[in-house]
Amino acid sequence: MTYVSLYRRWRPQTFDDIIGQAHVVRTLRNAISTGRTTHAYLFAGPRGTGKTSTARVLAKALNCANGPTPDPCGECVSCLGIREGTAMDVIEVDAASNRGIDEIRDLREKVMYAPTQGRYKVYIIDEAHMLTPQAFNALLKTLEEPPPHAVFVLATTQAESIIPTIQSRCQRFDFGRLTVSDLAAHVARVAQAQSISIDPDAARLVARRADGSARDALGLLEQASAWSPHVTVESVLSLLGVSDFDILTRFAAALADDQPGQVFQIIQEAVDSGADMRQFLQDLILHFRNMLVAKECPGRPELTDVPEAAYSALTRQAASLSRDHLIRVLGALSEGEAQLRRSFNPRLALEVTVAGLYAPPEQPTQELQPAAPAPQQRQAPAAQPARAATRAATRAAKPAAAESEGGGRFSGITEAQWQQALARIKPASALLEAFLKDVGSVRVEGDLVRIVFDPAWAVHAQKVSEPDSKRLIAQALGEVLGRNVRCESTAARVEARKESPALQPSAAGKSGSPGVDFADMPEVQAAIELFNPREIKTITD
Amino acid sequence: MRLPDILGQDEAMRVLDAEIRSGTMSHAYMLWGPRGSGRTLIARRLALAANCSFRGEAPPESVLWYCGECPNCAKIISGVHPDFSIIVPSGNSIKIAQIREMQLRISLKANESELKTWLIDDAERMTEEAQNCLLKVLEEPPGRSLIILVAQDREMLLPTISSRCHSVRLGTVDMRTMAEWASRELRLPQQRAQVLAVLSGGLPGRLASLASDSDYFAVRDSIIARVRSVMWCGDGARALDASEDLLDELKKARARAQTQSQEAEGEATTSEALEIATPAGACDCAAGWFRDLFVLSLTGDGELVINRDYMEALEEDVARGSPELFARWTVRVMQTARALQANANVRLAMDDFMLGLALTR
Repeated sequence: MTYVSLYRRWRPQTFDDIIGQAHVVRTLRNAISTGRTTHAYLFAGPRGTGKTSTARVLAKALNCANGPTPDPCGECVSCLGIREGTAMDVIEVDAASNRGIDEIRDLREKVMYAPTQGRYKVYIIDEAHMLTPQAFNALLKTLEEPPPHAVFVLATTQAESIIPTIQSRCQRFDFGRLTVSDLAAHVARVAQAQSISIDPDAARLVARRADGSARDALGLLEQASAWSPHVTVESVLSLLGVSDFDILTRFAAALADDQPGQVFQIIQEAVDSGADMRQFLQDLILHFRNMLVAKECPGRPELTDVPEAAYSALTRQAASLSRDHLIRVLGALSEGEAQLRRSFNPRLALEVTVAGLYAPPEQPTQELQPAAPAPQQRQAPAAQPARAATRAATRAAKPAAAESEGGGRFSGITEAQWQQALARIKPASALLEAFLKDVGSVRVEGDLVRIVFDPAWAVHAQKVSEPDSKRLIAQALGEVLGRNVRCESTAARVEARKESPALQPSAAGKSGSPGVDFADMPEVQAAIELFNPREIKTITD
Repeated sequence: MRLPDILGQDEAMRVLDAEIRSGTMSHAYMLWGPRGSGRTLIARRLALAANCSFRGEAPPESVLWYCGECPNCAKIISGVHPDFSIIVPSGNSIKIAQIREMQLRISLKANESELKTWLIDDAERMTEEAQNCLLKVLEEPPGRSLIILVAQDREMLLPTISSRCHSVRLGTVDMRTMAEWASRELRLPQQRAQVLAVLSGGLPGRLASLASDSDYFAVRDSIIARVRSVMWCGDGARALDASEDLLDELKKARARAQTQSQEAEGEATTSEALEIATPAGACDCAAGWFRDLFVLSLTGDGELVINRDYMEALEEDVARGSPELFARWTVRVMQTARALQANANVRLAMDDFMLGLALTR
């Protein structure tokens, strides 16, 4: 009569019930049917993926009256006993509570006795990572050469804390997170059997939020079904406390329209409604991410998390914002989230993140002041979003910058030829093509192509210098130019000295990164004056 | 007998209520949210609603109803029910021994109720060993049991723990409700109720302890005064003096608050004064000040201000600076707070902060 949680009632009872772990199930089934089971297993994987359940099914399979069989009957004394947790021969040890050497010594002694009913004594050692090192070591000999009737199954969420000498004595099975579609199907199946009515979209949402864990998914389903008779996307979202789509849209609009008053008003509203600030920030991040997806991959609503009804509103808002703006805000908010995690005053942390969007970058001159240690300033996550201060300007800035760069960027090759080459690279590696779009300059000298990046894009330069990338580029350029070429890529700081000065303004204009041209700063000039200018060497790296 | 009423949290209570009514109550719950939001009160209310002998007769419009008269209710409210146990941190944390003891006792049959109920308060302070030790019993407790965890943040516990519980989040309460409640229940004058409602950040528990804590306001006054004296001086030496003086004052205030809380032993209220009189508390206070300056200079909207009792001083400061400057100061004080959290040398961190405040323009 007592109610038992869904996740306990729906524990897999046979190998067929175990979802999403085909590799484990197949191996175990085959081992059982060919009689090649071993005496020690290690089941590792995140929560809710079926480790303990599989261990119990394995115990059933070994001890079933009709067995050992990969399909335990579920009706014999042994199967029922295991199901109820009363079987004498299946000993489930909670290693987190019995983690000491004494408990293991006790276990070791009892292993020797023959099973009372079944064929095997199965020891399921759950949360095995919590055993003390001494306990592990005490187990080693037994685990290596146990009496023929003993089978050990160690289950853990942290395989890395199991000592290697234990690991090497076990057959290890890694349980993976369940996929969203597996989980969604499972949720739908359980809901049907329990006569819970749930929308397919809502089932997917539950699956997604469960983060690969069947237990989390069923827990959420259970809560949602009590919360509203018919489970819909909206009811799940409200149960999870996800921010209203409307408030997110208004926040994004107020930010884009440069209406700080409204932005803070909206935060106040969220606070008043009792929203969790971290959740609110995460929802904002997701909203901006969704807009980016809607903008870059139009017509793919399934890639976003929003209900269908909201998708068109999302697309509309996304269309009104520039890609750069979205990426910048997304970056700033994500950094803010990291801070908020550590903050003791979440609201303040959120507001500071937003305030950072309005703070101009600190001037290099100010960093010379005693109280402002420069490295700290640069690292400060909130100083980064500061770049967004020039938001309005940069929204229009990109094309302008590109034009101004135009002159010195290409030599020995025309821009059109370069674009053709990019088009050829794209099908092979879209990432490489995207990186190459940010190139600082391209010069072709004979059969050598030099690709130079702004120092801010050092990662790009590195990627481009990989042998595979070089080969692709050389091939594409070779086809366009009609001759064999080889290529070489660097970040500009090496080249800038001897190469064209055209790079400098482009670098400064593009990233806004401080101090590309230190020589022009009054402080540096003054310092040069102080010393003998002729004896000063410029070291650019 | 009744428990005090719960302010706000309607949604959370309805979620819990729905599960009791539909008979699908889980054996494990996690109620998480900021301290002072009424977490323990709701946990006890849940225990009552699940144990009350007349729970079948709950009127349909009520939420988490309990009769308050049956022996189960009366004993749970007065804390003497043999089947209702509360685990609280012993010292700084909840230890594995406490969980082991619970494991032993939970397998016994319930005495008077049909249910054995456990409330683990400040669950995030369970040691890692204690959390792991709890896992098995939290997943499949013997017999009929109800385990309620109360925690600050879901993510401060092992994912394997939260995955076994139905989680319900408790949020902050809106300012208007808070202010009305403060003037009605705590008999505060309207304006003070307003100020406290905003200052307590929507946490009724915090508001109540602020209202009875005059030391808190004395410390806050002196922090704001020190910060303001440095803000516009542009003088490094003065900033360093102020930093030293402030640390001294905080130390004294802390000592004072400590003796007081020792005298008032028995009352389990956390002293707000004790919290603000730390370097981290001072940073938090200063951050609130700069945030107010920033918001006020940008929007001119007094409704968005936190330190409402300081409106004139804020307006004075706003007239002297720009939003950019205030934003920079806010970012800077948060950096100091982070440094302090990461065990920075307190004196150096504070000096650095004050110098930066005096010299950043």
